[in-house]
Amino acid sequence: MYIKKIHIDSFGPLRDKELELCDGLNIIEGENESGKSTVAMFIKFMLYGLSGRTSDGEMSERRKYVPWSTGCASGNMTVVTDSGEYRIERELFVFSDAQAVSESVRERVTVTDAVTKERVFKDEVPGEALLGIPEQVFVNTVFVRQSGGKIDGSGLAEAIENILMSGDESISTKKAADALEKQRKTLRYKSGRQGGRLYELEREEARLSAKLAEAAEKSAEIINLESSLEKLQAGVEEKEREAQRCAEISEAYEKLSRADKLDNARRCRAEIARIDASLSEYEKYGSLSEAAARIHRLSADIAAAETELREAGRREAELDRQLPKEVSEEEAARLRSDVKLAKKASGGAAALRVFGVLFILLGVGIAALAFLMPKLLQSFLSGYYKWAAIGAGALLLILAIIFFAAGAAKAKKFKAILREWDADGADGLSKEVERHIALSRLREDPSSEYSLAAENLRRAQERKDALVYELRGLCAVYCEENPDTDIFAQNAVSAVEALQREQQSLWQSRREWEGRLAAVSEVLGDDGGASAAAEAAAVLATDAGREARSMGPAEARETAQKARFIRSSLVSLNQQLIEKTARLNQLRGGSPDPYAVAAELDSVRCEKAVLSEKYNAIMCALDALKEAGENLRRSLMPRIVGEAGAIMGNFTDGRYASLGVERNFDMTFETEGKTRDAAYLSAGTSDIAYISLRCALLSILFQNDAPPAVYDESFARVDETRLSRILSLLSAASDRGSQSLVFTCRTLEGNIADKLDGVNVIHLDGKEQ
Amino acid sequence: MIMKILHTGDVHLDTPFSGLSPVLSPEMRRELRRTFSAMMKYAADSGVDMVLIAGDLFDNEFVTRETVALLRRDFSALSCPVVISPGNHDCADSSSIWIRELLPENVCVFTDEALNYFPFDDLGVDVYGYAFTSKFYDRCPLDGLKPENPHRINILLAHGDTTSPISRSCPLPPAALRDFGADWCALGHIHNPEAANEALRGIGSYCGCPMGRDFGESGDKSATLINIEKDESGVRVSTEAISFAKYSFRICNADCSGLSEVQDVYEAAARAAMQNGFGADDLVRVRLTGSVDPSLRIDPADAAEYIKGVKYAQVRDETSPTWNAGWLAADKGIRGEVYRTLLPKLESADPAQRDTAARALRYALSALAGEL
Repeated sequence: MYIKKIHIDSFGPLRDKELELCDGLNIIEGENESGKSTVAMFIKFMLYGLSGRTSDGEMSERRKYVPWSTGCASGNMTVVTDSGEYRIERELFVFSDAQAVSESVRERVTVTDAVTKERVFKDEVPGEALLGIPEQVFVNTVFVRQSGGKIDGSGLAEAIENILMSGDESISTKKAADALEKQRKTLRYKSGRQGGRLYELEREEARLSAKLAEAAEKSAEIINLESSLEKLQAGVEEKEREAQRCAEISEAYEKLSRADKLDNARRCRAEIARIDASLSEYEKYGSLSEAAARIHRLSADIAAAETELREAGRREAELDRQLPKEVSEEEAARLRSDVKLAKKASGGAAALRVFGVLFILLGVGIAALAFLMPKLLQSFLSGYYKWAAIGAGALLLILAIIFFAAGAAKAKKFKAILREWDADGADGLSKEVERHIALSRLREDPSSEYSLAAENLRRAQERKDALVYELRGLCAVYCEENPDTDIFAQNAVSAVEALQREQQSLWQSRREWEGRLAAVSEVLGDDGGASAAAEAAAVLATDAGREARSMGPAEARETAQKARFIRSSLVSLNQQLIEKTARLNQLRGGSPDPYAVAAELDSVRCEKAVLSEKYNAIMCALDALKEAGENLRRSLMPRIVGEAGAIMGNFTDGRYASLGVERNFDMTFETEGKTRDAAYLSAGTSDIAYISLRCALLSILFQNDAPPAVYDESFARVDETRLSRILSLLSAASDRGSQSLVFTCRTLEGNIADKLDGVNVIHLDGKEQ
Repeated sequence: MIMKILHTGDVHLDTPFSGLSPVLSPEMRRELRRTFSAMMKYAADSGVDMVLIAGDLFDNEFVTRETVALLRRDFSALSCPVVISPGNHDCADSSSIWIRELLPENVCVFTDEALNYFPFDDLGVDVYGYAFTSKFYDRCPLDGLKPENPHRINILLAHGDTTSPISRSCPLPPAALRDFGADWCALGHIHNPEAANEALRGIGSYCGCPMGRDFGESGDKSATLINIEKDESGVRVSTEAISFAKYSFRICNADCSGLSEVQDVYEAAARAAMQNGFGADDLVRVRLTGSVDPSLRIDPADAAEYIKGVKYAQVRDETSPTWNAGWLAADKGIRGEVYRTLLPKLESADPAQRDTAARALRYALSALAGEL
């Protein structure tokens, strides 16, 4: 493709400028600021428009090339391609606000077939439609500007690399890689070094995970504590209610007890009064202990008196036995009479026995006759005579028996009297009786031992009787009369002792009642217990009072104990409550909300996931860039380097026949049989090297329908000889359909061109506004 | 008698919703709680005989005080029993709420890995289940077991994975479920259960999550009302999906093929959301698809601004920077070579790899243009 004609209506400083171009080498001369670069940019404007973007602090293309005066850049350009001739027209209007802060744009671009006058490539970018390349490629390959200084060392290496990689030394693969690396580094440092946002996020994730675990643990503890506290609180309240109930019951019981004590006190007093009344009954007995002692003493005295009496009695009896009984005169007469009678009895007995024997003999004789000689007798004694004889014999036998009996009785009586008097015979009896009578006269003798003994006996009896009298008098106070003094005394002693016991019992009872009274009297206030009674009445109106009323002391004690126990356990529970509440407050104050931490952690993970994707993409981009670079180095670069070397050899007339680019993009040159590095080159040679590379790139990238190559002051430092060769070559290239536009401020290029065929030289006239 | 059972699970209470905006996250957390409460209220008001929760009631191992209070309040309001089978997110480990007896007495929780059951004599129902006791449960607990009382209604309440026999979330092959012989299997774990339920037809179902929590859980969500009856003639089961969630996550695609201006891309995103009829209760993700010019710089946040009338809008750039890339392919320089290097990945069947490659190409081109 080549540009046939350029017409600038308004662009940058240029107005209504028209340039006719040939399809070969075109040299556009002009002084500095005559608009050479503006024309170059106009070509780009026609094909691709102007960019509104700014970079590196420079103003945008729009601001730079749209005239402020009109706000409109416009013009047209005619190009010829293999498919025909086209006219490109473009108008760009920029509307800025007063402060030029914001702007709006309106642009119109049309491509018209020069033959058919029809509009073609509608809604397409003319450059892309006609050249088949986007703006970026056009700018990077077609526009060759001045290298900007001596290309040597790393600068040249970098430029070469950029050209090789992107066709534009301003597009640095290295810089792109650095930019990506920078991005990557913001995400994660290399080789496990600690740094980058992802590393920070991982650390943050680890920190938050640990924090979450701790928060979760504390949250669980908080929940447990709250639940535990809830139950504990309920338990405490329940126990407090129970303790309160027990306390109320105990209090009620106390009040009721006080009232009961009041009743007890009254009952004690009544009982004491009754006992006192009973005790007063004992006053009549005097001192019972003394009375008992006296009875004992009297009993002992009586016993002694009785002993004395018995001794006296024994003596008197002994003496009495020694003396016959006192015989009175009558009795003496009677004794003597008895002696006589005894004597008569003795004689009568003997007589009776004799008659008795006679009768027996008579009777036995008759009986014997009767039985031994019955026939004799039968005749003699027949009839009534027989039975009379038998009767007479029986009668005689009976009489004999009677006489024997009577005699025996008399003899017995006689013998009894003898035995009584211990006498032997009637005479002895008579003597004995007389002796007896004589001895009996001694009893009446006051001086006799017997009389003395009898007197002692009498006195002992009197003394005993006196004592018995006194004792019985004393005993009669305590018990009923009893004929037996000893028993009476014993009864009296028993009665006294019983009275003593009763009295002691009463005293004991009184003391007990007094003790009880003392115990309960404390409940009696100044009002004598009236308040206690009123309180008790009030208490009985309550549930606690009613419950207390039904309780026994044991239950009441148990209830009071229970209340104390509950209170005691409440202390422990409240302590637990305090401790747990404190722990809970500590946990609440010191532990983060696990949900908040989890949300934070989740947020970190989300960001990490996003950045990881970005990191992966950047790493992928870096890898792709690296791989692409390697690929280019392997494939495209040798071709470009070879082509560039050939072009440079042509440009330098074979002095630099070949050009080499090391792996690190250091450039080397073959000259005079030696390989030299970039530092060896002069500024002009450096420019030639640069231009050679650009030309090589163009020839390789656009082998068929190449776009026009624009050289904007690219040969300023090239000497005339080499410039001549370069221009010759560019002119010759037109045979292959390559149009070249060389912008220069010198006349040298024009002068050289004059010697070449088919070179179109255009001179821009001075500054144009 | 027909028994009504409300089957839910995978509620994931206390989900942070961190992927949404800082303002929306707490609101969605509240909404999730409200959804749960609405389910329990429904159970209380509509005479449900039993509530089954098939695991993952909580999103995390921990549980917040507010959530405990919520559960205690809502469960206490129920007159029917609640049976819970802890899942991998709320496993019954030593610190879990399940073994701390904080819940009301009508809540029965499986706390053992081994299969067990709760008998409900008054209902004539035995509910079988087990618990995750850690995040992973590698085996099927049903092997060789059968219900003990075949004459009663036997329900298996389980959190597990019926889609993979090597799942680490309790593999439950459908054949094992059939062999076990429960009258119905009320399952949890799979949040989007439509495909899984197809394989379980006639033996049970997943309830899915009652409310979506991110764009991975898009679409209408619900709990399941199970009507089950058993007599001499057999078991009859019918299920009904009941929605409780107010908000739903929605996803749609916006084809941006050939668009060269970001403005056009953004408008395409807005148009896609509008054409799908998304409204104020929808949280919308628009996926930008198709091939666009590699030089196009799409800002998803800017694109989301164009989507109006929805609860929340998110745009995800899944475009491929390959539109009109002939010039790039023809570029023999570094740009073209980078493009060619990435092209296999750009055309990969793996969306993640495609996405990474697309991003990489954009980063590389920006870097080469000095714009990064």
